[in-house]
Order: sequence, then structure tokens, then C-alpha cells
Amino acid sequence: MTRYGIPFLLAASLFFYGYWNPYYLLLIFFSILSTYLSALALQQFEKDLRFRKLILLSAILINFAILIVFKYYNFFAKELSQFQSLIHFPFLDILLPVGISFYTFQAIGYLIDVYRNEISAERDFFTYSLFVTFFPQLVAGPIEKSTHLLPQFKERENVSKEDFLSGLDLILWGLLKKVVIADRAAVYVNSVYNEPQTQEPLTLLVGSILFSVQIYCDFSGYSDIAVGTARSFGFKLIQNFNRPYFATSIIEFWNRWHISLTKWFREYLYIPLGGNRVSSVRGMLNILIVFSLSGFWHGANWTYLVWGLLHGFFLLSNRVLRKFHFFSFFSEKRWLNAFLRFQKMLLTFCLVSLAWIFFRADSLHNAVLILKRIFFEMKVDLSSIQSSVLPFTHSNTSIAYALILFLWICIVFYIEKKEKIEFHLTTRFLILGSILIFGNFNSSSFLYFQF
Amino acid sequence: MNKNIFTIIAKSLICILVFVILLYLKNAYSYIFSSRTSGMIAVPKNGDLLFIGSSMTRQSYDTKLLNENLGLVYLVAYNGNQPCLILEEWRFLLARGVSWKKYYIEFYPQTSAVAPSISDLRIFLDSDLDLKLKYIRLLSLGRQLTFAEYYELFVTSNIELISTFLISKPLIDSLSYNGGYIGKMERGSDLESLDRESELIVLTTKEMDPNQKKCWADLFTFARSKSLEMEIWESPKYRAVGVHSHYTSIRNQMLEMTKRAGIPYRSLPFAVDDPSLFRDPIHLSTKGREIFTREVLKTF
Repeated sequence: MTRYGIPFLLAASLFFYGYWNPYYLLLIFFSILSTYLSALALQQFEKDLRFRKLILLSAILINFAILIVFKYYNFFAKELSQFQSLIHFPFLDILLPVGISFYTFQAIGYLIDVYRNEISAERDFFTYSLFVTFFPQLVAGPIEKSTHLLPQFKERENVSKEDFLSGLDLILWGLLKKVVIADRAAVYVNSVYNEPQTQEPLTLLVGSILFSVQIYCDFSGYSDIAVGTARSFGFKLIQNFNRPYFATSIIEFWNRWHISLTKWFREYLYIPLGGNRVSSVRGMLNILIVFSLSGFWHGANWTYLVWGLLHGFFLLSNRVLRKFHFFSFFSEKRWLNAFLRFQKMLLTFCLVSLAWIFFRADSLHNAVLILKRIFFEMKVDLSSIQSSVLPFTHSNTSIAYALILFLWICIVFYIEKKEKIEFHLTTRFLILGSILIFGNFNSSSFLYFQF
Repeated sequence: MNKNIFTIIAKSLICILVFVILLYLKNAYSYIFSSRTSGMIAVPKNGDLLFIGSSMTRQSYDTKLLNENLGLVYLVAYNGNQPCLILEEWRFLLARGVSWKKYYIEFYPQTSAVAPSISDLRIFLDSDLDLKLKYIRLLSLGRQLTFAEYYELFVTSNIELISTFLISKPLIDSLSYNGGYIGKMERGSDLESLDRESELIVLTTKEMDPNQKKCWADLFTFARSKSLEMEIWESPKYRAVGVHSHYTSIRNQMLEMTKRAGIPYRSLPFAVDDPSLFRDPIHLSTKGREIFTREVLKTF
């Protein structure tokens, strides 16, 4: 990177973050300073293992404390006040700083890497600050590992034409997924989830399936834009998604969905807890701990915890079923194999969508209500089919909105089925035109910005 | 290298040109894709009773029932339709040679209390370029339209209907009859929901918007100048909406205006306390629509 590259990118990143709320720059600065100094101290006292442990734990605790106060305090204060009416916890009038969960995890990951001697402590404060605040991935990831991103800031390489163009392609593709699919689906999903009690069961089912599509296109769209932006500057970020809805099991799904977070939890929590090298009961418990924390990481609400736990149970069931080698006798027949693969894909998608209901619902009560209505009150007739199309515009024109959304979902998923997305000039113009014409530009933000 | 840059520039210019041409064609001839069973373009040249209004008009009258008893009846209904827009729609219809025996214009205090705006973009689909520009002038009264609004109106609006018209048009057409709904089942609500929703649509002002007020006056003058027979009709609202002081204040202003202009104003009796008759505080359920339509028939 050129001499002025790092200060320039750092200034751009800080401006980007401070533009939203300059006061929260102090918070991120504190996080940077505490982890920067702690890492240097870890390196300094290389021989004193107990002191190193103390430094690491203190730094982790301080950073998690900030995260807990800003993200979880009001939630727990409310829950505890309800539980024990004699004690009243004051409500803090604070906004959740954008990206706090992401940059806190990235900074803590770096500290652990230094503690494990996987990387030397970064001496240059600007370079380290850029590692924490690098603008493409600051607000919603991917959560980068220090051994992957930090060395890239030191390499003095020019941006290749291929990198620049493939970066632009990713940005275009991400935008297409965000504004053409996610934001269109959001119109329906919001309408359904805002008042689930008044909706027909079929409408709730369609809304829940569309939320699965929305959250994927929204988050992976953002990740594509982030990875593409970084790539056009010459940096390679981790690919956060690998066609997750083509997964044929929950285990495979978690190797394809929000890859950077999954890796973080695996490397810094699951393996230190003992991973699967412990007794089977302890191993199961470890998985449930990791998934419940992963759920809570997304937000301060019981719905996220249930979402995480559900995935934990799904994953455990998946592991148990794997041991019995179900359906292995089919493997001889090719066509049966393909059919089975499709069924597994469908089942995985259904399970994931079921869990998303808890993720999206405002409360556990609403999530249970939605599930109850879908499973026990489902009725498919002409009137319910008609009602299930309406939430787009609340008039008959919804039919056209539904058709367009369906068409774009098919196009995008068909293209994404390929391993690598590469475009020619004409394709780029077509995608740009589609974004400009079919994009819904009324949405203000990305879903994962709230985490 | 130079050849490459030339290709990129040439392709970019061609793309921009194609985009602009398509945009012009879309805005000049969008009405080709309009429904044949609802909206302005589908209005027959001659008929008996033509209702013009908002979604409340669409939800309040059962066109099949009215047609069986009163001759040809048609509903021109766009969500959130306002006096200023209605005036332009009426002029547009007459310019297309539409001539009906009697016209019924909907009055809803909420749409008369806000500045001109478009909430149903189908209005833009059903109009030619000239009418679109008139709408733009209306929307610009007293404020500057933003780029995002221009973009939505001229570029993205109705793109779904246009690009899927081969499939969506027959389906949409099959769901309407003379501008009204066919076979759409809408259940009634409950008291709790209606009370809660009524609070959300409370009028923040007790005065009509000056531009809308002027449009009402222009509308009356227009009807008189063309010797058109017209009435102002108010569709039923849930009690909590209809008794609010701001609502009644604007209704009283309208009553005063219609009285001065010699235009009949009607608000038919209806069980405004019965939640089963309302889908929400301002729209009737299927049952409510049937009962209200029978009330309309009694009036005739």
C-alpha cells in the first residue's frame, strides 16, 4: 500500500462512521486503544503466562462490557424489573452504535490471535485502527481475522484491473439483490409481520418464506457490496455467503451462512470450550451454548435466543442422523440421488425458514401465534390465495408485484447456482439498468445494520 | 486500449439513449397497459351512474348489485384519490368523449385536508403524458418535488404492471367488474382493532388544505360549465372516525360549500358501530359493502 494509503483510508473510514453519529467515534476509539495497548502488552510480557491471561481477560471484559451496556442493558433492565417488581432498573436513553457487535468481535478476535501467537501485535496505531474501522466492513462485517486482513495493509501492491472490475461486479450484484429483491420482499414481509394476528395462515406462510429470501438478499447483498468495495481498493475480504439455501443439511448451511461469524464462534468459543473432543453430552452442550450466544449476538430479545437454540437443536439432530447413514442405499442410483438431494435442500430450507420466524417476529408470542396459525389453521382456497398476494399494494395490482419478485428471485438464484459470477460489459449494463428500473429505493437501511 | 475505451463509451451512450427512449415511450403510452375492467381507461363512453373516488368508493359499492338494479354503473377508484386529482381525472375522461348521465364524487375529509399527493401510482399508468404533467404541476403546488419523487413517478412507477402485463393483466382484469371488486372476501374487524386503528388516522387539522379547497370550487364550476349532473357522496366510516371534531369541522366546511354551489350532498344511514361491517375504520367489509349497497338502492 502507498505511504499515504493507510491514513487516507483511515480518515475515510472514520468520516464514514462519524457521519452517522460523531459521539460514537469516542466509543470506537476507546475500543481501538484498549485492544491496541493490550495486544502490545501481551507481546511485551511474552514469558509471564498468568499476566498475559489477566491482560487478555481484562481487555475482553472491558470491550464486552461496552457491548453489553449499549446493546443489552435496557433489555435486561426491563426483564428484571418485570421479574422482580421491587427493584426498578433505570432505562438508559441510548442509541445502539452501528456495527458495535461487528467491530468488538473483530477486535477481540485480534487480541486472541496475538495471545495465541498467531500474529505479532501491530505496532503501527494507524494500521491497527484501519483494521478495526475499515469502512467497507465496519458496520455489518464480514468479521475479518487479523491474520487475513492486517498483512494486506502492509503489502504495497497496486490494484489490478481484474480485481477492480470483479469488485465492481460484486457491488452491482449486491445492489441488485438488495434493491430489487430484498427491498421488494420487505414490503410484503413488513406488512405481514406488523400485524400477524389479522393475516390469513397462507399469507403468514408466504411472508415467512419471503423473509428467508429477504434476509439472505439483504445481508448477502450488503456483504457483496462490502467485499466488492474492498476488492476494488485491492483488499480481499472473506466471502461471507456461499449459496446457503443450496445447502442440503443444517451443518452445511452453517458452513455457507454468515461464514465470518460462524468461523469466529468456532475458533474463539466452540473449540476453546472443547469442541467435539469432549464427552458427547458436553459436546452437545457446547453447541447449544455457541448457538444461543450467536442468537443473542444478533439482538437483545428472547426471539433471537430461541432462533439460536432452534439452530442448535437442528444441528444436533443433523449430527445424530448423520451417524445412522440414512438413505445411503440410494447413492447407487443417480436420479434418485439427485431427487434425494433436492428433498434434503428443501427440508433444510424449511427448517431454516421456520427458525427465521422467531428471528423476524416482534415477540415470542407473535412467533408462536404465526407458527400455530401456519400449522393448525392452514386453509388453501381461492380467497386465501387472493389474500396472500395482496400485502404488496393491498389492491389487485399486487399480482404484478408478486410476479416480478418471483421472477427476480428465480433469476438471481439461478445465476448464483454457478460457482463464480463474472460479467461482460453488456451484462453489467443490463444489471445496472435492472437496478435503476426495478429497484425499490424507499428502504433506508440494511437489516444487519441493527446488529 | 483506445479501442476498448471507445467501445465502452459507445456502448454507454447507446444504453443511455435506449433508456431515454424507453422512458419516453413508457410515460407517453403507459395507458396501453391499463386494466380493461377498472380505472379511467376502462370507463365506457356512456352510462348511467359514474362514481369517482378513492379505495373507499371501491370498497363501498357492489357494482354487480348496482348494475342489476340501476343500469350501467362504474367506479373510478384510486387509493387516496383527492379532489385535485379527481378534477383532472374528470376533465381527462370528458376529453376522451366520456359522457354519463350522473356523476357521484366521493368526499373524505382526510383527502381534502392534505396537500396534493399521489398514493396510488396506477393513476400514472392510466394517464397520457399531458395528464401526467398536470399531476406534476399539482404536486408541485407550494413545494419543490424531490428527485426521488420524479424518479419514482416517471421511471419506476408501474414497471411491474407493464413488464408482466401478459400474465398480470388478464388476472387483474378478472378480479374487477366495472371498477368494483368481484369475489373478494373481506372479513369484518373487531372493536378493539377498529378503535386502535381509528386513533392512527386522526386528522391533525380541522381546516381543508387551501389547494384542495380551490379544487373543490373548480370542480363545482367545471360541472356547472359543462352542465354535468353531480352529487357529493360520503361513504360510511366507523363511528370513532366520523365523530372526531376535526372530521366534522371539515365536513361542515364542505356542507357549506356544496350548499352555496347548489350541489347535493349525501351521507346515507349506516350501522357505524357494527365492527363486522368494517374491514378497517374507513373501508367496509364484504358484508358491509352488501348492506351499504342495498341502502344505496333504497335511495334510488
